[in-house]
Amino acid sequence: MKRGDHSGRMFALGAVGPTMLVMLALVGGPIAYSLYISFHSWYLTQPSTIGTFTGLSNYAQVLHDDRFWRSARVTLTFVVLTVSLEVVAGMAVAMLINQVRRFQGVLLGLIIIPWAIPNVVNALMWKWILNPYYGALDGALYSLGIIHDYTSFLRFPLAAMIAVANAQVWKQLPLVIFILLAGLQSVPLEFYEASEVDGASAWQRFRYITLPLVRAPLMVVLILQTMESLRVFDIIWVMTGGGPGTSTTVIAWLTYISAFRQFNFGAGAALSFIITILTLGFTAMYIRLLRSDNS
Amino acid sequence: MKRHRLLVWLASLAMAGGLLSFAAGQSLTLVGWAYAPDYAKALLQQFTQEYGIQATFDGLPSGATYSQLLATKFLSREPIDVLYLEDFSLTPFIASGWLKPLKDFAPPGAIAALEQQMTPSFVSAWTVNGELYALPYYQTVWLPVYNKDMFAKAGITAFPDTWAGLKEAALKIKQAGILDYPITLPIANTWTDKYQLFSMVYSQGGRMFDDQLNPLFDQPNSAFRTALNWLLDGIYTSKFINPKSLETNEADNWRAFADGQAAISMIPGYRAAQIFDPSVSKVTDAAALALTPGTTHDTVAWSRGYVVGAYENAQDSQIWDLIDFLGGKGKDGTYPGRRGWMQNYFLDSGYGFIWNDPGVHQALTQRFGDNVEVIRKQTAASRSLPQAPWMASWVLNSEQEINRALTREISVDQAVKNLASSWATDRQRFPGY
Amino acid sequence: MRRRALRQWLVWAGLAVALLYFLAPIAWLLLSSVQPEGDLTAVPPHWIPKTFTLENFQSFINPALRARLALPGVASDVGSSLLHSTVIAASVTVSNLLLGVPAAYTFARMRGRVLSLGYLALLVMRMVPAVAIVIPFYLTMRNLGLIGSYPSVILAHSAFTLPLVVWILRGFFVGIPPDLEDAARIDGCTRLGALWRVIMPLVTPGLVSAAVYAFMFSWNEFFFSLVLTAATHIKTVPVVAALFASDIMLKYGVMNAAAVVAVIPPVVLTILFSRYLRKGLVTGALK
Repeated sequence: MKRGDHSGRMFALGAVGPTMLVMLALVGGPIAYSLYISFHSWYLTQPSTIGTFTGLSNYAQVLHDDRFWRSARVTLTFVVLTVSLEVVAGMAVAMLINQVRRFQGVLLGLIIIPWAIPNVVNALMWKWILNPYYGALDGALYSLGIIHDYTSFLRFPLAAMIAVANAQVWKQLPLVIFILLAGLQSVPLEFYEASEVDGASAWQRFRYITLPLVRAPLMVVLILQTMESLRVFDIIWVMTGGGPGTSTTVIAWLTYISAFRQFNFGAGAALSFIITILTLGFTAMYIRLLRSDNS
Repeated sequence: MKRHRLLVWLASLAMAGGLLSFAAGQSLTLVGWAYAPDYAKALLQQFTQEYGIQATFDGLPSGATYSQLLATKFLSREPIDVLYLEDFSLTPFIASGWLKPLKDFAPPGAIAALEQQMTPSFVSAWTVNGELYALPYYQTVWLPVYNKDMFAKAGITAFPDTWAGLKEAALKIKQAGILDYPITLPIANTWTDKYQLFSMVYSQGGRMFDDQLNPLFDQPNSAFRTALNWLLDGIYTSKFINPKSLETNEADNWRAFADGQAAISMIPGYRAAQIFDPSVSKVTDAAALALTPGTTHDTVAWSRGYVVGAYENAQDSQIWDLIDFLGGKGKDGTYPGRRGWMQNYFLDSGYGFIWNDPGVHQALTQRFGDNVEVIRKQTAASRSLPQAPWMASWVLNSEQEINRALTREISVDQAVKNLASSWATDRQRFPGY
Repeated sequence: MRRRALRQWLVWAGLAVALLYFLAPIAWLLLSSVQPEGDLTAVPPHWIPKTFTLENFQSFINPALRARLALPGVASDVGSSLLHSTVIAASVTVSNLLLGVPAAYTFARMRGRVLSLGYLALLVMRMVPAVAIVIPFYLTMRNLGLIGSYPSVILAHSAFTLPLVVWILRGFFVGIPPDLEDAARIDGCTRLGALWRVIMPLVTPGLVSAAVYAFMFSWNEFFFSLVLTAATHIKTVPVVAALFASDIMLKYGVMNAAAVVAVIPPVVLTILFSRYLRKGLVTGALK
């Protein structure tokens, strides 16, 4: 803003101020409050001790708890599994869509539907499909003669992880496809045509033309989807409740049960803050990336 | 323009909300899970007719979320008058300051008179520091159900009275080709895990804790370890327990049995009502209840009670009237709430003598036939879990660790160790307990 | 030529597989919701319903039917939850647009270190996961006595939709050349006037996109809605749908029917406005 642009400054203040205030109150405040709680004892079952300053002991308790590290491993597995599936499948479908000009609108209109569904319904839907007594997956395998008796899936830690990852991927893929498609469509056709004339193979075309030019959207997808996967909660609540055992207890779930089932708000707050720091780290990377690409 | 309208709208909503809550303040609130909500409301209407006091029923979702939702209500200091409560929530809720003892409301001698009629396990489960906190909503036990026809086909004449015998019977049924997996149990990552395990412990004369609340389950050769190993053997080695059990919760379990997909299972007593109900069950003639196998046949009893919320703001006498109508004698001494739930929904009333009430007895025998006696016997041979403020938290851990052992994520030894150490850690926060 | 035709065929085959993956599960959800309970427990399932019934949906509005089918208590909440979700989502949308349009415009048009910092802060706050702020948020709402009221949920949802709305709108504003407003201002318009009269009509796609996104997010939101409404009289649709699945009187027919009810508004909105949504999401993500 130019110096002395007083009316501009007033406008900016009035236009942006309310939004910033609301956000600070809704998010900034709670984050600060959460940080505060994390340094105090906050067991609901011991009201007389609520608010006692305990320094870093909540963090120590959390970090010494084996459950936290198991949960971190589970979360990492989930993130890696979902993001890599989303990138690979998303890229593949985006490339396919890029090849058909005529029905793109219809295709995209249909593909967006999974993204529109509430995550709990998404999870309910898959849980019903995987039901060991009446589910559609068992039914399909049975009808095809692949199995002769309905089997259980969600009781196996590996299958449960795949099931929740699938639910997450299924819902997120449309967004990934749109972003990657936008990237693909920004590659001028002449590049491909010229390389075909030069005798380049499909793989070479992909590697030397497509990939570099969609690098930016790809990075965006990687970071956005990592943050989405770090956030996952609804799917776990409905499909597995963190189980079998603790094999799908991601950090968000651990935070929830610490606070709302074991009534230990102090540990819950410490866990929330740890998640926040992680997320902020990724956000910083995202913003740096955008800046460097737009400059 | 839009913003102005929005504000006005918001303000009127707030006012309406305020008015509503003011109006509601004139009547008593009963909070519970929404099981047979129409009957719960009908009972309250009967209460209003007899006593002239308004009362409304607020039905919350049932299951694991019930106590969490109650906690959120109490955290916001909601003035709940009377509420249903699960027995394991009693001590944590008292410790959090969310409940009031009954003596604050009862006329002198009323509580003692009722206690005399209650089953001892209910009294012990709901008495803390010598004070009774609840009147019974219902009480139930964990017990076996089996399919007589399948037993007959496999040549088994009587329900076994040892766990080894139960395994043999299951294997016989399997070998006769009747079912690949004769036993299905509700042992998913859920609240029934522990009832199954703990019942197996009690029935062999074992205990989970001693009188000073020290763990006994972690001792070598404890009944708890034996029980876990019996289950593991059944699922993975001898293969007579359906592996789907690890994903089966109580709601799916009875349905599987009622569909004829299991020869033997274990159920809460109240579930028998559905298993013998021809409109939802295919095995009403074939099913039979039995006593839990084991040396003592003891099993887990648990109960639900009517308690009073700490933030209630009604008259003491009105609160007593309501809770006495629902869980006690009532004005006319006929125990209306207790008889009603038992006669219409087969929920054990928590008062021994009500079994003999003519209306109740007829309803029970009509539905269950001879099995009524089995439930009575099992109720007599049952014990509730001990109370401790950290019990709810430990119970959550126990479900997880039991499940991890059953899915073989960890060994039995490791699970037992984890349970003992989480008990010790949680206990440390309550010195003097 | 033949290689080309083969390639096109393969492309369409691949797309067919993708479409099957995306749409078949939803189709099964729909088919499951229109079958009676007894049919749903068939082995193998009735891929095409043998008996087609609307009783699962009817039970949401018919108490007698609910009693006959012995449904979970939460079945009576489905109807009212539609109202609650609609009111909340509409309020979120309107309030967020009112706040977000001027802010997005300012971020798009004006420069300055403070503004950049503000936008950065907004992005950062958008990325915070719900579970990180739910505990203090709940305690604050409790202290303000707002538990069980619409504003608590509206505020909770706004925490996540407002940055999104600003983000999407800013992308659209950036895409409109400044010359038009400059011309209007030279003609004597105030900055606000220029915004209202010249720019707003042009940014309608952005408004639609942001509005639909905000409405959908609010409708679909589960975590805060669970914590803030599951024990109250203002349960939202996703909360009711989830509570169906965890009830001890679980019935699969109505569970699927409740899921369908939860799904219809966002899916209808998305189909109607898919082009706007896509543009909004992509613009926001890449700019």
